Amino acid sequence: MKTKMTIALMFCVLTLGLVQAQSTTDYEGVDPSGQTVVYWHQYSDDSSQAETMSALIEEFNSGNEYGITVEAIHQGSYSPIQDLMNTAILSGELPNLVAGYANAIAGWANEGVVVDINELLNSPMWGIPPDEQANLNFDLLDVNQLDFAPFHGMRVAWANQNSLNIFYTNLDIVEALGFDRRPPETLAEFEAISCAAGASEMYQGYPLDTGTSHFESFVAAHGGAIFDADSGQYIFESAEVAAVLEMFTRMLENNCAYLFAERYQNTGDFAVGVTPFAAGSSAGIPFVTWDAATAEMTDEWVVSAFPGADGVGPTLQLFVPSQAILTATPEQEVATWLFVKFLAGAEAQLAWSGATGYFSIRNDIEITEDDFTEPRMPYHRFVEVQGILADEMVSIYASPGLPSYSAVRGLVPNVIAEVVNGDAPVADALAELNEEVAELHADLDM
Amino acid sequence: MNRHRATDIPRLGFFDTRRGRIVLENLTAYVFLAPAGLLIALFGLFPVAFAFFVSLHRWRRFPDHYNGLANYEKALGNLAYILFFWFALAAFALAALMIRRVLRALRESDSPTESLNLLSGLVCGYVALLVLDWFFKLIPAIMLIPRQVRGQNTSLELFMAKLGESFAMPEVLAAGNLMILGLLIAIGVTALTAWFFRSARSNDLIVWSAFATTLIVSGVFLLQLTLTEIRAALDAARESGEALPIWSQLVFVSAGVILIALAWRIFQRGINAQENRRFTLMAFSGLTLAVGGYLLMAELPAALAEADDDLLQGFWVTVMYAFGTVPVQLSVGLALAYLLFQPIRFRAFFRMVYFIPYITPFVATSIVFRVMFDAGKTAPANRVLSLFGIEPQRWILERNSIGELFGLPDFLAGPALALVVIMIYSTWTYIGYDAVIFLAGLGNIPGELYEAARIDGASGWRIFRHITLPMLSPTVFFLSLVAIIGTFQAFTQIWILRTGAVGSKVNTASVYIFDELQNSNRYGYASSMAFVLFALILLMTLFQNRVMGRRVFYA
Amino acid sequence: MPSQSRDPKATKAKKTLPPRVNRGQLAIYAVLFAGVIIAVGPFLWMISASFMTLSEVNLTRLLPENLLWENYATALRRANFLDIELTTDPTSGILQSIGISGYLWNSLRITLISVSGSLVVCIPAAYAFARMDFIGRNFIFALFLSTMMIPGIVMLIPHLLTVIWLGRLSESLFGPAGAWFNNWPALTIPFFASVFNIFLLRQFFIQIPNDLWEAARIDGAGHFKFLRSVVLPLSKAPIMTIVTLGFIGSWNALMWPLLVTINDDWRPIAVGLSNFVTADTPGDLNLQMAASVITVIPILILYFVAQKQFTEGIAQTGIRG
Repeated sequence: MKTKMTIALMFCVLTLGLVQAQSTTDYEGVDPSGQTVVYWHQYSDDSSQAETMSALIEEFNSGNEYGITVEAIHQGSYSPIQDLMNTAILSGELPNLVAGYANAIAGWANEGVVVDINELLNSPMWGIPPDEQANLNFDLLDVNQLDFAPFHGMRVAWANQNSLNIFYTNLDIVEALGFDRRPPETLAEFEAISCAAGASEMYQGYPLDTGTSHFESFVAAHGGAIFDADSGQYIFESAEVAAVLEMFTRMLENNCAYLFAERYQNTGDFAVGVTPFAAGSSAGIPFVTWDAATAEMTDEWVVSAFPGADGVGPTLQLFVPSQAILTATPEQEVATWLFVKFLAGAEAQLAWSGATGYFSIRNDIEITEDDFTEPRMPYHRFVEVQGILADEMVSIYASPGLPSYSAVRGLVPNVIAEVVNGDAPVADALAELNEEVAELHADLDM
Repeated sequence: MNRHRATDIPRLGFFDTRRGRIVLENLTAYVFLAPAGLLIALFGLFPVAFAFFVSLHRWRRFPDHYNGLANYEKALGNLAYILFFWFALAAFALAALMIRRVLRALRESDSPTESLNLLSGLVCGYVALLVLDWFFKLIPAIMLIPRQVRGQNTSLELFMAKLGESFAMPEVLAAGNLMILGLLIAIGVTALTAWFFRSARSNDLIVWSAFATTLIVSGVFLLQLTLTEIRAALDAARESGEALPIWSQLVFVSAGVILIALAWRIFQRGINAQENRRFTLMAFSGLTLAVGGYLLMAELPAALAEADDDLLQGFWVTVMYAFGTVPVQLSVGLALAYLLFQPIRFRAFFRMVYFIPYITPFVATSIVFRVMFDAGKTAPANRVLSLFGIEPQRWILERNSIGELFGLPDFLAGPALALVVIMIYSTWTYIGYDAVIFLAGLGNIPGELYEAARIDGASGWRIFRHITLPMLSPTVFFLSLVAIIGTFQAFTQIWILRTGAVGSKVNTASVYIFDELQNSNRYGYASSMAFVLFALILLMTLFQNRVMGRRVFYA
Repeated sequence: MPSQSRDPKATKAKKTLPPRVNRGQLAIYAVLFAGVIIAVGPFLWMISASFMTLSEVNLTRLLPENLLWENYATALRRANFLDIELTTDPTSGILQSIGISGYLWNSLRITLISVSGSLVVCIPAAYAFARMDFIGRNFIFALFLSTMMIPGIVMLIPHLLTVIWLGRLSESLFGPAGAWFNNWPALTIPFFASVFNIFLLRQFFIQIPNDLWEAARIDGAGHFKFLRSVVLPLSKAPIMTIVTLGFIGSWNALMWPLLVTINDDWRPIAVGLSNFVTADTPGDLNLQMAASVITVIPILILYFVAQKQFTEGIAQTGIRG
């Protein structure tokens, strides 16, 4: 009752002790021999990801000189992993390596359970020497390097499943609608074709996803971003964001686009040849190919970067699900790092990219047609996607790796739904969103 | 419960004396209760106390710092202060009720020593608070252990050692010692009073006085908390030069609620009154209602101005969801049960089949419903509509409310069509369950009653209205209670059937709170909202108990 | 009754009137069968879809062209529902041991423990509330009942804390087998003390005539003996009711088991089904339906077997507020 002050005081003392305890770990002279590394992943059984990963793990387990054993456990999708991580943080019994997106991992890092990989990467004894680091693609890896407060350059995770949010075009439909046989080059063109498709008897317009990632891709296509790294603030009250919402509203009103309920229904509809376009992860290409074959859809389709608004070139959004090393004894942390380092090796990367179609984090390997074993994805698609990524003209966008981003992701779809349904004017909805998001940012990210 | 006390059979031994038997009865009862009591204390009562404790803090995954009613203020605006004020008053009022009972019992008492039972109640009530005090010093310390062991080898021994340390923390230790001392004294005093001053009423006296003690101390705590918080809020407002009319809001909102309650009482009296007085009473009731309603309508929005809109919407969705499912579910369930009760063949088959929706996991049935109520033209629901020449609907993707689809104004429009689909789903799930339980209730009604009514020439509907329904009222009461509690906690059905295109239009309070917990991990804020929801459900149940409970007919 | 009450002769007939099919009866059957279609329509489509090809499901066909039984085989394997390993002696070929694993097996074990634990805990408590006189009885009963009103979300984190720390305590007492987390105790013990069960049983126990107790007392029986030899044999139907409801609840529980199992050792089928259905890659609806059907079958069987006593049990408890 009157004890609240003392309890508050106690918290202060404990938190103070905590901050002091969080100093950098010295990894030199640590012996990782005989450690077990528990790895939580989301690759569902029977998938080529799961099979390749277990083959790689087996190779590491039998081949590493320290007798380290990696124990991989499938935990469903990312959502159960987040739930389980919440539990693990409460109980203190953490796995050693866990899959997640930068923002989720940033949330864990905020609780102090994530290892700064830079310390291991640059460790003289265990790290990757500078000359070899030159072979790594830091464009991909740096999505997990959080340069803002409170992380100050911490590398919270290691990219391993790199894909792109990509734009699918059915060339036959585009041509049938009377347009040039190529992916649209501007958003205006995209909208015109979608409207033509919506007005036609045969086809439907654009399957519009109300998810946040999809929304961000279009913000990027307008030349904007939802987070401004310089000021360290989310910015939703911008012309670009408003333009996206207006475009969505217009397209839905004029029957140029439609909403859908099931996940992956957009690429599914695309695969059966009812829509000229779809947006989705490049990791979905195998499924689109497969669905198209099952439905005996013979139209020619291509993938490309997103068309841009006037004056904005083609854009792409990176999807970089990663692996985070969680705090443990220095020995376990090093052992986990050795496994991550093994996965980053040329041989493992060749096997991983070749079997799954994810991009490699290395610059020095090339996946030839012989290396490419993903059964449901033709090799030429892989080359297509890699070509887009390598294209100098395409600007790359990545979602902010902030703990608050999980909550922001939950708010955006509601604002989209509100605006496209005409329940609120764009400016009001965005002003309110901006306010809410600023509060979340101040509350969760510090 | 005197009927359990059998006639004395003289035999030797302590437990055969009258007192011994009472002690034995008490001991056996507590032994019987111990496992359930322990588990319910751990998994039912502790969570509530814990949630309340957490809600008074800034608390993400781990305890941060005490921040009073800030979370509640964020959730409910100024209404938070008003509610806490009421809680404090309610605690005092309940305590007063208990004290009145005690005094009445003592006045009837012929032995003056009977009042000594109060002492043991007093001690027990106070010790209950000591237990809580110790607990809430211990829990944060335990929660922080995972932080302390980071970077070490997290072995069981380490955790247990840290656990031991947290029990031995000076703060915790002091509170723990006090608690143990208190417990010993409480047991001693209770045993002594039970031994020397035992009477027919002593059980009641002990419980009432213990309850009153706890309530008074909690009331003082709540009042002090609320007043401190209000004062702080007023000071902050004064410094920034704003006006913060908490006090006037408190007065007006309270007055509004009291007047409405008064109107209800007068209305009830009016119904039973004689012809000539009835009109006056009714008119007076209407007047009181109007004034109270006006006060609430005028002040409540202002008190809620700073509240969390999403939470308020969540409550509104919850209310619509409850009113959209419970009556339908119960009446259709009853109708089905009534038909099944007729002399028909295949009753077991029907009973079995109607129960299937209830026993099939949500994960499975929700997939089917998503397919059925898809927005596409070929979706089954739309195909059915096209049979009647109706335009295809967007169903689970439809954010517009059913009323808006018919062109009604916004405030009359009701739930979003997507929410209606979820209501259909939920109703579909529970109708069979209700029907089976109603069927069991119907089987309990003695056949002679029907025969007597039929001899009197009553028609089918009159029999149903005047015999079946009253005789079934306990079942109706039970099912509606369970259904209302269930819908106010509704989560899974909505969580798995909602779509991004509908946004928050289908989010009940539970769903919103869960989102908050999962996406932002703000346990403190989520707990405060969950606690408000709990209070609301408790209130609803009490209200239902009072209003409906009176009409329940016990055969 | 409506059709009969107009017929005065009907009153003379016995209660077990042989059903005569007249117009009223036909109407009743029509309504009941319409109800059947609504109640099981979605369920039947689930079964039907489980035999379809993927494109048939996507077109929302009503019936499959060919019955694809292999969907079930694939679903069983892919969803890790059941895995039986027979170990035979290499020389003699005699069966040495049977290793059963998979989510179905886990759910079965969890459900059995959960239901029997619930009986052990709830029966004495209900008996105490119904037939004993002790300090604070009504108060404690009200306190128990009030816990039914707590929204589930409030419970999540405190439950986790309790399970984590009690588990550690028990692990240090009983060794690794005593662990709670990712083991049966976390999945079952929190559900042992079901207030709903206690309430239901109390309603029944209260109705047992006091004469029986008086008679037992004269025979020198105490409460425990009375409970065991008189009350329990009378309570078969109510017990069957709570067993059935407990089985259904435990079998379908999702959220909590998801949080407290970190590998497949004890992970139940509802979590397995959910993981199978909500994987991060596009799934196959026909396989998901097959997996769903497999999940439902055990409860269907149980309910089929228990339904008569289940209904009787509800009737006997009388369900009063």
